[in-house]
Amino acid sequence: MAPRSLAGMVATPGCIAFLWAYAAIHLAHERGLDPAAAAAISPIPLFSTFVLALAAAVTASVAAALVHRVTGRRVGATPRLLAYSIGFFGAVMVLFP
Amino acid sequence: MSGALLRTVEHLHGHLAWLSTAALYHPTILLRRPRRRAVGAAFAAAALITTTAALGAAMYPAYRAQLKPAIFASSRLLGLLFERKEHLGVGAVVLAWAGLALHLRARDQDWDRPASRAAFVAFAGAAVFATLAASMGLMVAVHRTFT
Repeated sequence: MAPRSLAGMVATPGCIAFLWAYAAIHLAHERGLDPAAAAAISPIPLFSTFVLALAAAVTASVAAALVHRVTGRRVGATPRLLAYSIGFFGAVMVLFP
Repeated sequence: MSGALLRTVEHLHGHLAWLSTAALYHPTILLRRPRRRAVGAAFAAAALITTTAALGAAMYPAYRAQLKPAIFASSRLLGLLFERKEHLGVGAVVLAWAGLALHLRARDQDWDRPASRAAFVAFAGAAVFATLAASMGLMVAVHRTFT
């Protein structure tokens, strides 16, 4: 599979993982439960949340690529799950700034 | 960053925010049709929103030190609006790049329908988030900016 196509295949799991991880870390920050790694990354919560969520996205993307390599199964792009994740992320950011 | 440079970056950031918001609607509209090619529009939109976010990130430490306390002191509602805008902007950037990657995959895989649909969903989400972020940013900028 072409690298560009592989990147497209893992984009949805990566993006969904980013949105959920970002929302979860943001909610934890709102309740004063910052992950220990957050303060080590940056004193600015926006930046540390972004980096941690990006790490979650990379992990999910690598896992999706490994599943494809080992089993031959393509992790399908799931527009509906992506749409729900976008809605959840938006709701969390609007309701818990 | 000096005051003059901050003001310049702030203005650039504000104008680019609206430009990239408009740019994100272009691939959104094109990709409603699954077999439509929109690589140029998708790449331009992703690049523009990323540049906008990078300028915002460059100003952010100065915003936290100089503007945020004053904004919250005068209006908690506006302060919270600005906090929302930052997170929605991050979401818009990530969704724009995901949309581009999904569109390229759909094109390479003989118009893989789920990927094509997911690209549309990602760009639509990015466009909505960018619209909200730009609107909230404008409301705060009307109230207070770098001096």
